[in-house]
Amino acid sequence: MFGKKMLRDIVASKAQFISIFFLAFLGVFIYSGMRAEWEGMRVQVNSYYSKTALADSFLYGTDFNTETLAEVRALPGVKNAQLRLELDTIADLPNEPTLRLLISDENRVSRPLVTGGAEFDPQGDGLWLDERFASDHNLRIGDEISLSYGMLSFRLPIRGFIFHPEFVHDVRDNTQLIPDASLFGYACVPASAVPIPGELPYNQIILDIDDSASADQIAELNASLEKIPGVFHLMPRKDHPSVSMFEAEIAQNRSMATLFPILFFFVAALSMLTTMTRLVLSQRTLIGTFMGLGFSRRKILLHYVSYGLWIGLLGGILGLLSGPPFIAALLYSFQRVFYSLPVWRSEVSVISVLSVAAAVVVCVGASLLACFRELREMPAEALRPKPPRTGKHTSIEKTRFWHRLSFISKWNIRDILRQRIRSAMAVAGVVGCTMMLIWGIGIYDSMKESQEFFFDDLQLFSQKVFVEEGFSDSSFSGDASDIQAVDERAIRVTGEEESMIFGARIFGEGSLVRFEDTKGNEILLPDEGVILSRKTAEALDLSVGDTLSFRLLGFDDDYEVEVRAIHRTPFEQGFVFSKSAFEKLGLTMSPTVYLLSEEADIDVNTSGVSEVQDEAFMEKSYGQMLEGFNMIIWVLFAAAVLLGLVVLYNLGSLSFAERTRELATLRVLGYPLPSIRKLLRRQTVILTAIGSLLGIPCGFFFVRLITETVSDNVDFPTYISPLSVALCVLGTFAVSLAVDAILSRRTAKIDMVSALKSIE
Amino acid sequence: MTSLIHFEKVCRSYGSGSSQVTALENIDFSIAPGEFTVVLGPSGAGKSTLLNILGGMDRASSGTVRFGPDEITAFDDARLTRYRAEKIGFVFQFYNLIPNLTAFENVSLTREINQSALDPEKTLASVGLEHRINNFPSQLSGGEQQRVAIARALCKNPELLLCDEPTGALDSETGTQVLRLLRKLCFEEGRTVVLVTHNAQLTQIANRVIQLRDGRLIGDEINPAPIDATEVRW
Repeated sequence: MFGKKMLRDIVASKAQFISIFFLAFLGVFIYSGMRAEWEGMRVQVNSYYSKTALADSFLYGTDFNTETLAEVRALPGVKNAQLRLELDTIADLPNEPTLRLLISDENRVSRPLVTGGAEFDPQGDGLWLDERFASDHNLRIGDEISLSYGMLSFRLPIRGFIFHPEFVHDVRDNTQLIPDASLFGYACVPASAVPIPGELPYNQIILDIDDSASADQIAELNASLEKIPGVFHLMPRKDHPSVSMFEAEIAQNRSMATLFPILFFFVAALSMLTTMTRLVLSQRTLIGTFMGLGFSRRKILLHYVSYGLWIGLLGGILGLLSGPPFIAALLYSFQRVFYSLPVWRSEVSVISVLSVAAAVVVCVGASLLACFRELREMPAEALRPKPPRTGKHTSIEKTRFWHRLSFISKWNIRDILRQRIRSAMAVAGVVGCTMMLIWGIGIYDSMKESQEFFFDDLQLFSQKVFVEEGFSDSSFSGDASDIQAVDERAIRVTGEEESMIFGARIFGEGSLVRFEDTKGNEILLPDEGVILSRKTAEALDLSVGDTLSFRLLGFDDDYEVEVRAIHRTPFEQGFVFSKSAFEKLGLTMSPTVYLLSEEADIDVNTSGVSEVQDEAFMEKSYGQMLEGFNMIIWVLFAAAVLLGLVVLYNLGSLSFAERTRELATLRVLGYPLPSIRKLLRRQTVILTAIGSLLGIPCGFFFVRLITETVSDNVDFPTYISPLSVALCVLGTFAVSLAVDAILSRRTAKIDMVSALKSIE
Repeated sequence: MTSLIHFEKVCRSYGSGSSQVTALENIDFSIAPGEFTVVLGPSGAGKSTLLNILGGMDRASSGTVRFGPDEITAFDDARLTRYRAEKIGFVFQFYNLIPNLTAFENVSLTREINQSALDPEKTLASVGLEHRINNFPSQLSGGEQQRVAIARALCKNPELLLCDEPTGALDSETGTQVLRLLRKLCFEEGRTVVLVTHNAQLTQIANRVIQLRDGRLIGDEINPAPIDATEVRW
């Protein structure tokens, strides 16, 4: 019987209950969807790593051979080890892309995952090619690729297509953010297929560590590994650029996935509370009747709580069913631009199921809270109608400002203060709406600002030429443009617990790269000391005037240097020296890159040149990444509009229902419809104004959260243009006035006669 | 004397077909300016419908209603709204004050819609509430609330005061006070008052009594000697 009553009550107030259903649905939909996304990524990447036995440690050095390998294998704790030669070759294909070869005579550690063609054979011939690279260049199995490395050139047939666990983030190095298969790829090559006589000059040893090894044993092993002759650098798996990049991506998705739904649950709780309070109030005499008939308080309470239970449960379950397939698929389409995984599959965990419980608890809790107050009364009291809410003089009425307000404003301000929960709910909804709009547009603005800052203000060159050791800059002598030599290398800073590797750039004479401090003032490269990027300075906890010591990779000599300035740049975090400052430390600069102020027609096949990058091309690929973000931005916009519509519609119809009697009285007194609509709209405008004002800083906070956590290698300034803020506020008002337009149609339908008959 | 209000063959029915309910059937009567009219009838007789049509809150299904020179049955919605705003003062059984506004502000409401509205403070003083102007309705007694409602109606300086069971929710003492006030407005200030009630005792204070039963007019009499409200036995 009570069930029937509940269904009819819900139908009678369908607008409110539908909006609560939507909020519960959206909360679970987004939470379970986003959670399934990052959990799916974690599960898939871990299974990928273990299936392919991704190396636990990477040893970089020179002239490794079978003796070195034997030495490594003999160390306690080493389960498996393998020699590898990593070679960046130029492929004879359009755009002259770099193809990174991983050459080995074994297939024990970091094994490729073959997705087409023959099984990988470390004793065979030919090469097994990066699947993305192959499809970008329309290569098929059996095709031959011509490769060149310095003076050496050779042709290899394609035997199969592969994914490789070290190339989840499939980029050349950390200066390239977005993978671009037209420019970079990788291939696994059996040692026997490479036409180099004798033993190959292996430059890597990759190894698996026993699973049973303790932290102490690993530290001991690492110490022994670093002492092996020829070793420059030991990198544990977690520091591998691809691994750490993907790990950071998962962490970032995780924090977004937690924050986002909290907002929805909060608003759902407020909506449920207001709706149930109104329902229970309107059924006050009914509750009295039930009590009089002898129903226990518990039974009545259970009845009203069941509204929340069913709505929360229904919304939650539908959210759980549709969130993971929909949201995860949507976000994966975006992630695929950045990362290569053999399988993208979402993962629904127990915690996602618990979010349904959270939705139910939120709805039930709000119902309970709404009922408790009424049920405490005696049946006889409950049977009597409740005296109308008292008007009160509020403290703002004492201010001079109050008297200047129009009559309509005074009325609305009192009404807002009288219905605090309802007003709070509206403000929360508007805050959420503005916040998400700002969030979306802020991410875009910040990235766009970074792009302009980096490409227009900092990078003054138009071409970047990567060269090999021993290249002579006399090759450029024919060109009229300015040339600046840069030595890009890695250095190691040894801390108390672990050592960290940073990029270092040593600049020769010239001014093709500008540096700015965190306040936007130009910094000139000092003749002494080092300047650090903001993120590097933060990572090392250093400020201007501090000194630090570093080592070159593969050497044990410490160099002490003073931090002279901290600069800000979106990309290329790390150390910056001038040539003279570097030489004052007793070190020699050997250029790896030349920057050219004008684009020159440089043949990649020129001896010693390994790659040529045009600034326009680099900027274009950044632009493509920005477009990739559009998806996320549209999702945020859609969520913002949906939240705004649902909450404001709920509020509007509640407010309308509560004030029907007052509005009818006004109609009878002769108020024209437009005046009544204006009266209602004024309240919407006041609450929307408050909400969007509060929403702006919240939005900034969320944008900052994203830009600050995006990665250690990038430093996006948080930036939102005033125009964007204005657009977001305008958008919020548009949503709010749209709801108002829908609701104001009801004012024409107010039935003056029946509304005045008697108090319900 | 020319009439202020003239009903001619006024019918009002709700619904259609077999479920049609007739609330008023062929009502004819006239009221002269300055008269105190009581419309009497048991519940369901159609007296509120009559009042609603007269007040421009409802429309007759057929027939004509004239107010002075105007035929209000021919008005569109906007014109009806203006008619309510300018000519009619309403007093309801349940006062219908806006709980959120003070007595003063409730009365001031009329100034938003009527250019020729009277001074709200003076109007409140005229119903004896000058000391309560800053109180909210919930802080006032029933009689006081009804007097605020009357002040709100008067503030428009209306040609016609319509009262729907104005004493229905009041005890006899405060009811008498309200009736005295209404009588004073009519007999001393010359306003036209139409009062709807089911209480036959109230007919004694009026100079015209219109009786309804089952939607039909069963009596339209002049009371030559209306008595004072204090003499009414409840």
